[in-house]
Amino acid sequence: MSELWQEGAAALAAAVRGREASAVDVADAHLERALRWNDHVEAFLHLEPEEVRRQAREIDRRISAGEDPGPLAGVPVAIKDNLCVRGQPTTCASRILEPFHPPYDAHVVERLRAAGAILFGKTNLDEFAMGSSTENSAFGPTRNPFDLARTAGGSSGGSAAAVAAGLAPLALGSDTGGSIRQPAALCGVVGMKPTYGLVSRYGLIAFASSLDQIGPFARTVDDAALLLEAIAGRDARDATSSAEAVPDLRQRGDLKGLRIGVPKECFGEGLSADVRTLVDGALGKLTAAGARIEEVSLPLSVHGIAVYYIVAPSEASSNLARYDGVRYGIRGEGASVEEMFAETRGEGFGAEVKRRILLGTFALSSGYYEAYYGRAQKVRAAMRHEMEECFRKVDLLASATTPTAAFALGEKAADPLAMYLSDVLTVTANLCGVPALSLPCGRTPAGLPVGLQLTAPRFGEATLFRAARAAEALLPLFSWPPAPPEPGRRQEPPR
Amino acid sequence: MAIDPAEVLRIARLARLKVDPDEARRLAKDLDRIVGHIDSLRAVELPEGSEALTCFGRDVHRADEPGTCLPREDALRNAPMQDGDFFLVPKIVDKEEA
Repeated sequence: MSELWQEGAAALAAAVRGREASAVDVADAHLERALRWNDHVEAFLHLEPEEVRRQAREIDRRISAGEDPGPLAGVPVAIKDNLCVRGQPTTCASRILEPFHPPYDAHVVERLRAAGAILFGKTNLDEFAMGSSTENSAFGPTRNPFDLARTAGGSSGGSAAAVAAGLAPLALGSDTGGSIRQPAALCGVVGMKPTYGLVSRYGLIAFASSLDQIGPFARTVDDAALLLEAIAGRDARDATSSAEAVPDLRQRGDLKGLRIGVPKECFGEGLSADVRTLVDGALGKLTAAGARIEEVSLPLSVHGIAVYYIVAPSEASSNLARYDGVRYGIRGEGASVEEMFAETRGEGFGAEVKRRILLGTFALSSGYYEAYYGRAQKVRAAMRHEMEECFRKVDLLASATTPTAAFALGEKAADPLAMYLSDVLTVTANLCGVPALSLPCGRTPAGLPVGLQLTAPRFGEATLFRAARAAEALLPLFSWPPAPPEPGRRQEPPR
Repeated sequence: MAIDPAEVLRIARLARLKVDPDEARRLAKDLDRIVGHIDSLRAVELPEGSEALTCFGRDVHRADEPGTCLPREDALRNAPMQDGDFFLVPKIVDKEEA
């Protein structure tokens, strides 16, 4: 029989609801593993065992009283540290928010509590979710469980690594330009960015508000759907929250006749041979299962990175203006208010956040606004139109999630532009507001996971999850990373 | 558009962000490369009369009805300096100005 930490979320919830396992046992199994692995992987910034057990005891108490705590009863869910959890540290991996304890829960956190989930610590990220490797975290990088010298991806690297290493069966991340899908791909798990507006951003610390979406990490498509179901739906506190009905995420079916477009722009220069081989192999399996794969073209998508690096920093420069040392966070010294603001922000923000604030301030400043921000929003509108036209011809799009497998820590840290270009395949979905999901499609000869990205039209999650389930059944099963070296300590059981 | 250290310092002042001269030199180099990349958008051909993207296709204003606010104690709890009633900041207005 497998250990509790190896079980998926659906199985754990069923076991807890059916009294085959207690929520405390489930919590302890994950705590024991998380506390042992976190020294190596550094997935969590904050994990308080007693608080986790307190929640688990409450779930067990409710079950003993004959109540049903909900579809995620007793399931640990790790939370990216840019989501507010009342009373728990919420730092965004930034020095500027190091002392911050939010006085309220994010909408998704409220929904998780209502579904019976156990809030299982806060995970590492690039500072304010700006980055693709977690190397921009003020508290040190997360490491890839499959190779501790490599990145877990980012910005939601902590959430991806936690799920991949069995420290939690589920995790929440946020995705502004690929920050769920890219780390999911590099860590060999499922990660999904919903349609813009499907999940309320209330209580998500804002980076780029027209792009940010919260979404699930899991080891299977079913579990990702279970988590998305729990958090999706209208919330009046987010003005962009959609009133559309939440799509049915439970559909099953085969791939026969499904039209899958493969954008030729996604298979150009920069795609590594290892990734191409695995993605081509996956597409071959989908074809053999009856999918109609056809080449399509999205000519404007090649400008995605340029548009993104105007729009996202512009919105960030505005959103991050609130960190002024007055209402929360740290405060620098200054004789005047203006001096105090500048000192606070100069001390509190890391290098990448400063770069993006300055880039955004530049793009929005008098004399440049039309040439940069205005221009970018026009190209973005045209990209969205091009995407909509493409979805008249095909049901889904498929590509690699990332151009390469996990890169070495330090490899791109000194070259911001090279780091930005690692998001080349993921930013388009954010700019167009469409949903996209990354699922593992195999490992490179070096043993590094690679992700296949499926993209659907807005609110096309039903088709997206149905196809992802069918694809998952054809692709290699999730496999556990090797145990980290622990001299003098107990080794992990074989898998 | 070339970005030099003086331009970085100008933008940093707009952003209320303290940047020292060494940092400004490094940032100028980074930003110059990034702006060089995003300048490629100037060459994109768009149809005549292209509109910029806007997020909302509907009225998003909520009803103007009083609701409950965060209790004052909770709102002040995270402040670096407060006196139980207000956030405290360095003096904003000089005596002569007032």
